[in-house]
Amino acid sequence: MITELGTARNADVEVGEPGGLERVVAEVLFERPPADPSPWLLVVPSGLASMSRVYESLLTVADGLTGTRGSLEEDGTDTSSAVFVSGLYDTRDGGTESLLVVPSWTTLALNGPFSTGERVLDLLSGVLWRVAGAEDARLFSSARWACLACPGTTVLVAEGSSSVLEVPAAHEVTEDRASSGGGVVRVIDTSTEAHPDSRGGPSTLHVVRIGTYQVATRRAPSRTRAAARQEAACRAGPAELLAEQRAAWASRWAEADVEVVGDPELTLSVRLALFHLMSSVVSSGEAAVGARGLTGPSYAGHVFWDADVFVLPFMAATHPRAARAMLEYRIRRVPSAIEAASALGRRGARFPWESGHDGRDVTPKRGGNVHGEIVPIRTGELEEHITADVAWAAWQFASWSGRWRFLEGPGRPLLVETARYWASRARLDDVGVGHIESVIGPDEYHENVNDNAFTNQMAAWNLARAAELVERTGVASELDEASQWRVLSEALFDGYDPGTGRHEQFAGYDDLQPIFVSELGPVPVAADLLLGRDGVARSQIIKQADVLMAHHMIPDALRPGTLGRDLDFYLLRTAHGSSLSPAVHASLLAREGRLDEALSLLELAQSIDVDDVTGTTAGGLHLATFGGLWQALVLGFAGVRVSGPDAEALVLDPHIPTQWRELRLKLRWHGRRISLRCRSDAIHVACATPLKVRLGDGEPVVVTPPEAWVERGASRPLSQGRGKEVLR
Amino acid sequence: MSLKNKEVSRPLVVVAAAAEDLEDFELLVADVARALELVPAPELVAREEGREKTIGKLLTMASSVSGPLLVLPARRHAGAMPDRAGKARGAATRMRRVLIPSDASEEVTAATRALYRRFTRAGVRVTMLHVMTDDNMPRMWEGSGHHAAAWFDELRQKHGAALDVLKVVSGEPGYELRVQPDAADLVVLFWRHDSRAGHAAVIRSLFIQGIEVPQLLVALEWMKGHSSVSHVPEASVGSG
Repeated sequence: MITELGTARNADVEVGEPGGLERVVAEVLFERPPADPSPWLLVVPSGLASMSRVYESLLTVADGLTGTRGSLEEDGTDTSSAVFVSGLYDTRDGGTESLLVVPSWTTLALNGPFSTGERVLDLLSGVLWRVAGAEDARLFSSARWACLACPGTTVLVAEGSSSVLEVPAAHEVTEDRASSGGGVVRVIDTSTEAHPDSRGGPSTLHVVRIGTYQVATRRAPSRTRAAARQEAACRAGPAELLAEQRAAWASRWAEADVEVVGDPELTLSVRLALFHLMSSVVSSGEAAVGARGLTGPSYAGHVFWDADVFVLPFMAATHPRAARAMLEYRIRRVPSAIEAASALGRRGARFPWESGHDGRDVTPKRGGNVHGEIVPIRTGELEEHITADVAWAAWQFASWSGRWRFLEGPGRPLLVETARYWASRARLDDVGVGHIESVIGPDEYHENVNDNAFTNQMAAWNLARAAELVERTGVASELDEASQWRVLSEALFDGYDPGTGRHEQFAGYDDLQPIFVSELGPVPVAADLLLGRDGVARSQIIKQADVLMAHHMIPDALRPGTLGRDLDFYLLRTAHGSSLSPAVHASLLAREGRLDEALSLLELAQSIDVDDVTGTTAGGLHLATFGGLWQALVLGFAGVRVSGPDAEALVLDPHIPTQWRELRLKLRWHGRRISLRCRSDAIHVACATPLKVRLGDGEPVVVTPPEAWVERGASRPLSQGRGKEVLR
Repeated sequence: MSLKNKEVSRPLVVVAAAAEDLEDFELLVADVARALELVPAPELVAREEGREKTIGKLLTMASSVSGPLLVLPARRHAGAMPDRAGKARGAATRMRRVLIPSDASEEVTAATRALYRRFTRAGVRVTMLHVMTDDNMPRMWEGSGHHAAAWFDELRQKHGAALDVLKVVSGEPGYELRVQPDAADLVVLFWRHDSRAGHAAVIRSLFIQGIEVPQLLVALEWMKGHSSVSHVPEASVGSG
């Protein structure tokens, strides 16, 4: 509906006086940040139409429950506007279960032509701003956000010339049901005022749109609750909702920010990554975190190891409630995993390579290749390390939070049932060596291999941790079983070859065609396209970290001194054909102090979505790459090690490149909020309660609040005065 | 018949070896001209002995005219070119199926989008053929299935939201195009205004190998000025 100035219909947004909408819109749009270079602002200029969907992914605003792609308000043929709802899946035409797409809230009728304008995503507040015009005239401005403080609530504020902007509908209610159960009610209220131009030109329209997405994952969504929530949001109005949004994001950044002092561009890339990670995971209930989060439809919203191994550690270290919600997703699907194991004649729980709404395996059995030919997809059948990855995620959560009680309580099946699976999956040979046959490791170029070092080591680790848990809780009926797990854990072949001093990726790998990746071109290189599926399988070229992934995930479980030799060997053979690969290598190289090589791969990792290196960013952002980027900085360059829920000290071993002045991190460890400033020779720790810290191989020292410098090799923290000396 | 003697403000230069070739493709020429909003300007160019000389002449001509150049195959080369229904080439030939090869570069992608809109508006089925070479291969390929589907989807959408068929072949572009166009009435070849040796390699290769489908040579420089296809401006706001 359209209202003239002075007779505004303000039933939906209470502004209290004639012309109030103009003031409300002006107040919000006034807060648009200047598009100056800033490590908090992603600025997208009026750009190439062919990049429009890449920008849409990068400019997604999400609140953990809903994600809205950064499409232009006018949509059009070059856009893929969509809203995704966490955990709601749909199966169309009997095909693959995919994340449900529901109608958007951002569409306005805009008639051009004028430029798409400049868009600015403010990472500090989670607001997407746009200013568009023709020549030097501003014709349209907008601000939009998804309310982090109140997931499912959305706000769009806009101002435009009536020469380009049409009056939108005032009230819309839609309902979408997911074929998997559950659904979403969407309520949209739009208020519009027209303000005539005193010089007789086109009038200016002021628009405020507030929306509510009421979601239920297992039953019909409540229209009554949707209406009540919508009423509350409209009563609050955009200015108050914006203030809440700023506060909510400030709170998240206060416990998660990363700053590379001396490299603002890298800082911006990392913050963009963290912004989308935080946006993609809801903090209560269960969180189904798909490979592309809530930023796009690719990978069908399926949950892979990307969530458990790459995303969850960041959540565990910064916002444990979100990590807990991710684990709740797995916990509720243990029955499906037990069923899957049973169907194969195994015990315990076997988690699926790709998981959807109910935890059954939704990995496609076939799929197209680059030529459009249909080829078999065997990951669902063979990429079994996911089962140990889920257990590892549970342990990570407990290690960062210090919560044994999670493992002893709701998280217990994630360790125990998975160990039970490996115990029934592995085979002991005549001399007592354990083997796991017919698997695919992280390196998916080589399928159906035996004794994949990563899978075996992760299974052994899983068995040992489960045994530790059972022994700790002392359930008598399980102690015998736990002791068998201990034996099998020790017996599983880890791929180590005393002759070479390194791990062989799988049985027979060393006999393959010895090709170096440099023979194919600079990395990353699509080796499987160059050599073909069979050709790459016959070679030693690997897609991504495999043996090295074990070094990354369970460093204490591998033989001391092997990281360097494994890095030297496998780096020469790694194509980085996976977006997961570069960050993991950067992390390991940093740990080894090989900083130039680490920086090179860190650079690649941070560019994967920003530069659309895979050609698929239009379909959504690579959350695992983002999580890997954080791990490279925190676990690699800062050298943070979390060894378990019992750890008495936070361990760091920073390796900071000379071109960085400092690496600044905010973390939560064992319930404490910690700020770290890392240099190679010292760290500055700020904390609210006493914290034991160990730097490198030094002795643990206790940092007394509020802050202190800890120098490498020192037996106690430096005084405040010495700290200032270090600062200089 | 010479272009110089005609007053045609927006010409579609149609090159044929003989008048009979123009007659054979009369309807197709009209279809192309209508879709591009151009006026046909026939030009008879005798085929010289040796295809390399002919292509040299055609490229020189293409460089000298401002608009697209439609090159018709000569009847003497077309004896074994029945249409899909098995009929001999002739007056029934219309522009129903167009093949547009793309190297997925920014320029060619934008040009394809513009032509795609024109052709689909004219009811023509457009097939985009992406010839993948070592130079334009994706740097990071995460595998068949999900990744391939996402990559295909974006490749398709970049070139035109509803391309009917999209093929990706790998190999030598000239050879691949010679193999593929039997499913098209017209092949569109984008090129840069440079007829020197070493340039326009794909076009040279096709002519030398004797492709027997009408070819529309479109200079990317011309497309830049004509990509704002009537009323649907590129990189601007649509009607919502």
